[in-house]
Amino acid sequence: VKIGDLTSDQLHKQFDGAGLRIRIGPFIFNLSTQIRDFIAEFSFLYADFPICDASEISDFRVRVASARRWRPWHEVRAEFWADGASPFETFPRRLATPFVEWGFNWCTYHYAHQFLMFHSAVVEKAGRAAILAGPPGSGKSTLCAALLARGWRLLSDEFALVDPVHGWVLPIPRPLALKGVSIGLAERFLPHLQMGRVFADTRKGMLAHLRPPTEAVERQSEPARPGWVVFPTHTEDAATKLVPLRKPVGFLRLEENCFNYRTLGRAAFDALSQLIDTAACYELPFAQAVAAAELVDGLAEIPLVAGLPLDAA
Amino acid sequence: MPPDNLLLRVFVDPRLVGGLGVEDWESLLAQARTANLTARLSYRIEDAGAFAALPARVRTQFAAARVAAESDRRALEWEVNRLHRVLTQAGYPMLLLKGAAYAMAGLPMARGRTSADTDIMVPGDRLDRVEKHLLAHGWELDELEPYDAHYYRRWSHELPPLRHRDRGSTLDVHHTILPPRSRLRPDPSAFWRAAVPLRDGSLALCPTHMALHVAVHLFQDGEIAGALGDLIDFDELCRHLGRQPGFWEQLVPAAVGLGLVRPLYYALRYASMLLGTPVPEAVMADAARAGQPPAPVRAAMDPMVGSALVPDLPEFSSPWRRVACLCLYIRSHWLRMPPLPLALHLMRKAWLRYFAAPS
Repeated sequence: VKIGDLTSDQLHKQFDGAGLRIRIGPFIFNLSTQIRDFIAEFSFLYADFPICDASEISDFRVRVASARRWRPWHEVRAEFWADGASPFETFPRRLATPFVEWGFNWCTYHYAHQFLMFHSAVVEKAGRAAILAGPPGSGKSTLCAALLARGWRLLSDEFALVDPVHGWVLPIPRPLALKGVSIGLAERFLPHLQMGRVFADTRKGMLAHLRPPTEAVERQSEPARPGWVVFPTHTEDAATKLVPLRKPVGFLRLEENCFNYRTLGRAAFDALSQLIDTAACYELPFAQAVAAAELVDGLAEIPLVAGLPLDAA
Repeated sequence: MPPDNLLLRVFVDPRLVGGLGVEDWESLLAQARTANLTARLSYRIEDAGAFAALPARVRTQFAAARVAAESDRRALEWEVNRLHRVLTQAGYPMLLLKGAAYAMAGLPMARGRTSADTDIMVPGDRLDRVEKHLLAHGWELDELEPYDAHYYRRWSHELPPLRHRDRGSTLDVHHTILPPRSRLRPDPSAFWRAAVPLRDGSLALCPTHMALHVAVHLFQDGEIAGALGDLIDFDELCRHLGRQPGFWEQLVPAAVGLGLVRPLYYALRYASMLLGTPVPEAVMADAARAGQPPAPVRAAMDPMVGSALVPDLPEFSSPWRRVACLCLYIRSHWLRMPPLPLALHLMRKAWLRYFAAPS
């Protein structure tokens, strides 16, 4: 059963009771809330995600609730709880959707040390993943949207989850978080996909979420092999080009984007070494996401040479 | 009567996990995360031989929590290594406390234990020099409100937290185990005289003092609320050290000698009541004879401690629990400061809380 299959009454009943257990990538989130606007926004963005049957134990117990109001003339606020922890102060209730997205991110990087986690968008073609790593503002979500338009499969907009034992990149195809002008760009690239509500005044400026492609959600249990590591940097006047990076440089750049490199210790070093051995690394300064996506697309045209570690795996 | 709490029950009898349903598991895992006890819980379950039968998703969560705990331990051992270089080599004696001591002593309870900071004790008469020395070697004092800084210097048994400039780690430097103006003032020289050397050349409290320190930290100096991890420290110390000859025989006399028998009584009482710690009957009777509070205090403490210790999940929040936590909070300060400064301190805190409160 998918979230989109439930009527709004059924959704309210489930979210209000024991919570709804939703399979999102390798995780199960148990989400409970009574906030009606949020339920509508969330179930729109996550319509394609499957609901788990009652025998599955969740990874994160998440609750979003209206906060107690000390001064009744102030705006209604809400709070986010994950397993007894509250990672943020209360926030305006109308911003519940972006805060829950950030809260899901928090749960992931705070607890999921079974993975080596990178701050990165990830797309896949022919079984190989392109890891688009970079800090916020580097243009990775925009580039990710442009690659989806060229037929790549969405693995993730926020995390590269790498299994440190087998080296697979696992999908977690949550909605794309688009900021400012990239909202309009993504709408142009992907006219068939639907955009959620636009939030004009979040702490990260104007923000909207793009509903992930149905196919990406349906294939969320299919991992990929790392194929390329790309470090996009968007500037208005950049000359758009793919600059190959030497492996040691790629290693260090990717380590900077790792959430839990120190936490995993030796296992992180080994897994990152293996990943960098397998994947070609590039820097990608770009002005136009379309042109940048064309260059990344070109990488997937190059056939694999037999004998590379990729084939051995 | 112990509170009916699943996390406590599983710590007492880990094999209970064999019969848990989905919602029990979720409640147990949420409580363990709240109390920072996930990895320790996983080792308890493993030691009881119940690990193989766990659901796969639970095993994954336990494995992830162990990775984080091992990382804490690595960081702690490295921190101790660095402190040796700076302090021991400059001739300042250093006594490891809490997590640092458990890790460096190789105690089984160090497995899965998470810790945010490193605690050490230095002789009180060298405190100023140690502080200057650390400040000259990479540690920095966090920016504190002038009032908080003053509070630390006047009322606390430790320096304000020191943070290392490059590693970001936090160091608490104690000169004794209780605030210098609290109701109980054990003589710190006793700790130094009895201290035992560890394999890395640093010192740790001797076994009885180690157990007393946890008891004091929990029931004399702390607010008790949410401190289940400390009670589990006490429980695991007693289970492990209790096998050494002389530990149980020396525990109550040592507490009497240092004037710490009341917190020891509480620790023994609540550890055996809530966690099933095997305390010999004679020891419990001696501790009760020497340190039992009057009956009305006992009657008030039992339900308050039980209610405040369980993890602070929103679903456990109740007016009664909030009252219990507030009473224990005031109690912890009452034991720490004389009445007039205490009243002024609490008024100031309440004032700040009111004006910093979110709308």
